[in-house]
Amino acid sequence: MDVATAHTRLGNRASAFLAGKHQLLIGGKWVDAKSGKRFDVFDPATGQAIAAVAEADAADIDIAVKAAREAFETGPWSRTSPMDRGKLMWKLADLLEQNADEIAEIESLDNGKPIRDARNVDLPGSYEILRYMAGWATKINGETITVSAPGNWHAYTLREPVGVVGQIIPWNFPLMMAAWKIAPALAAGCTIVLKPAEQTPLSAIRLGQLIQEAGFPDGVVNILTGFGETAGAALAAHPDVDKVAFTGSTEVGKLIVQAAAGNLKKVSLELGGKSPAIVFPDADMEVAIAGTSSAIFFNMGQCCTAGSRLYAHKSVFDRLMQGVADNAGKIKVGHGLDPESQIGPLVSDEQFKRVTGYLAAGQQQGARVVTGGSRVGDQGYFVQPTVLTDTNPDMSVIREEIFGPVVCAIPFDDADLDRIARTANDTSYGLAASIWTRDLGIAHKLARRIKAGTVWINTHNFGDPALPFGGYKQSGWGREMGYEAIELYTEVKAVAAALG
Amino acid sequence: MAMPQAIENYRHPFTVGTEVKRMLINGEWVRAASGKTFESKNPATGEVLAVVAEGDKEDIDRAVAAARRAFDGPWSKWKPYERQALLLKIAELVEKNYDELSRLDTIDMGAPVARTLGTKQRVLGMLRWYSGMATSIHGETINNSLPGEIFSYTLKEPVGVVGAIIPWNGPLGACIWKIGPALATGCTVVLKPAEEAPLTPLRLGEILMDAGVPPGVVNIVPGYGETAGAALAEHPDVDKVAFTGSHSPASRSSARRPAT
Repeated sequence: MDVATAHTRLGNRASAFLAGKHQLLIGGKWVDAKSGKRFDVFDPATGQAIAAVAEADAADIDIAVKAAREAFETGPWSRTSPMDRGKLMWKLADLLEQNADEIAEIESLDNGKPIRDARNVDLPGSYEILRYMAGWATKINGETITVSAPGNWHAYTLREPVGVVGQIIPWNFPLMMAAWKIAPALAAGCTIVLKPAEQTPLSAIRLGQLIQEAGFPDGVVNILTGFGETAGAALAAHPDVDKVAFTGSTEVGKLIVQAAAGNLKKVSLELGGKSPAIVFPDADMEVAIAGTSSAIFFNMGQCCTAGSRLYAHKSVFDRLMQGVADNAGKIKVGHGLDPESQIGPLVSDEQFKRVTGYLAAGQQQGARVVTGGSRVGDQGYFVQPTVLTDTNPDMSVIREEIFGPVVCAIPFDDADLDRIARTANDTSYGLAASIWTRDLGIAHKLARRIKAGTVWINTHNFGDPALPFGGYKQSGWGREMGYEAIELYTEVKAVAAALG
Repeated sequence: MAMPQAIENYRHPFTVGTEVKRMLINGEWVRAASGKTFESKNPATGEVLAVVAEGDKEDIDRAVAAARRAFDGPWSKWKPYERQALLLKIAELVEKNYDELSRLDTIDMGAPVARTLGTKQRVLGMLRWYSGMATSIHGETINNSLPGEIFSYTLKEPVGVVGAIIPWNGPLGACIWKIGPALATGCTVVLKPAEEAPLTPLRLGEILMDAGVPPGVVNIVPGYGETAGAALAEHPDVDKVAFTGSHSPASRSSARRPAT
């Protein structure tokens, strides 16, 4: 399919959405930015503008925070029962599922990802977390505590919503990241100001329409498209925001922490990674080759958990690396809306330059390209799935998050799990790791030695709404998903009564 | 063979003397109401180690009554950290006497001393783990969806008088399994040791008294399953029965439990 005309494959409903006016959702109304400014949204396969959306800045953030505060303190939401919050969330999940084909097309066009990934991963990942968290809405309990002080006491805790939360989300799974953020906050009873990534604002706007259709009270979810430096920074720094949640780079995560310090708002961060995949000689090689290939090439490597450091025992290294390289060479690269495409373009010109910059730096420093290594075609932001080897631990391709389809393959000749773990942990990140072996002892002993929020055994990039997700070290603060996410959006109040 | 001779020559301090080993009811060491006794033998030699008071229904009745009084008495006012301290004290005394307790298990039920000594960390670990639980028993405040402002919460309260029937294959550990959580939660216990191996539970009873367990909180009534055990399982004033043993007596025990 011709990349330039691929967007003509959009269905009628996605086309109609694209042609609509893309405004800010504030206090239950769609409005323009106060400044009247708009910015263009691009198809990363062509670099062509496909829509223009309202550009929020600090003034709009301020209005949205006021709307969220009012909704939290005095609006109908503050009196909505846990049961009814759960029902609204379930309704929103149903609406997302009913409109999944249309939204997947929007997501694919905006982000560049293959339509089948958008439809089979991003959309279910969005409505399933809403349904999972809808169940928690009625189960956010405190405890009654037996105190040991003399006398008669009734002491207990209440788990209350933290308040107005700012949520800043990334462009790699735009809708799913929005759903991961809003679902626990809604379950807890918070109100939200959501800022989607400037690269991929469209599916969040469609989400806003469905939030209104589901019947959430005005001001509960406010959605403001805009840039990180302006709208995002204003949200992170806003004195009336009780908590900010951010998913993105470690570099920006640190800026968020600084911005949040003004009113000491609570902060949760889901940041970068440089996740190792470690293959032992007894692993099922077919499974390991397929799994470690997908670990790095899925979503064009634009996953914070991407398996970007591939360690394999010397005795299987050549076979494994060749297998991954063969897979890389076979991957069909193309426009996201082409149903044949297995990976699409990178999301933006900036990201394209970043990834190709790392490829150049790696080769300059002596890394060898086994396969890939350059752009695809001369249009859009396509990069070849790439395997590098002959790296050393000081190279930027080993130390830094590339966030592209680039894996470094490294042999090890060791059976000592402490030493293997030390190599795997030799990174400032700690988001995820995968271990490939048939030996239960090796798998679980190494799992304990890895400093990462998630360890997979004989799989990679597996997630479930019930599994806490987040990072050690500079990969973040807090855990999303599972009950741990509810903890991020609640405060605990201790009540002690002297009964006399 | 060297080993049986070694056992023949071994005299455990708890088995010295001919005094009947009495049962522990309400903090006192008493004879069976019937006056009956049974012999506890060393399975390696057939030697009679001790003559033990044989509890039956009447003794179980007395023990349950003591446990009920204790449950309703000052024990119910003990603060979590006091129960925690008591369990830590018990752990300390069990640790101090561990060699003696494990050798008593060995001569009474036959397991090699290597095994009975080898469970030391496990047994002490259980006691100390339950001591920590004493201060960590919380109910929940419930996030209900009722109209209006209705505050609801749960309390986790001790179930009451617990009947505990233990097997002979690891008497010391089995006692701790039953007594540890009961003391942590604030229950009271009537423990019926296995007729094959009643001595370690009785010796443990002495240690519990030394540690400061209040009268009636732990009662130990040796006897046979068909009489004492059955009476305990079907006693109308026992709130819970905990049994470790074979499948068929467990079913009988359940079948005999009065309908509630």
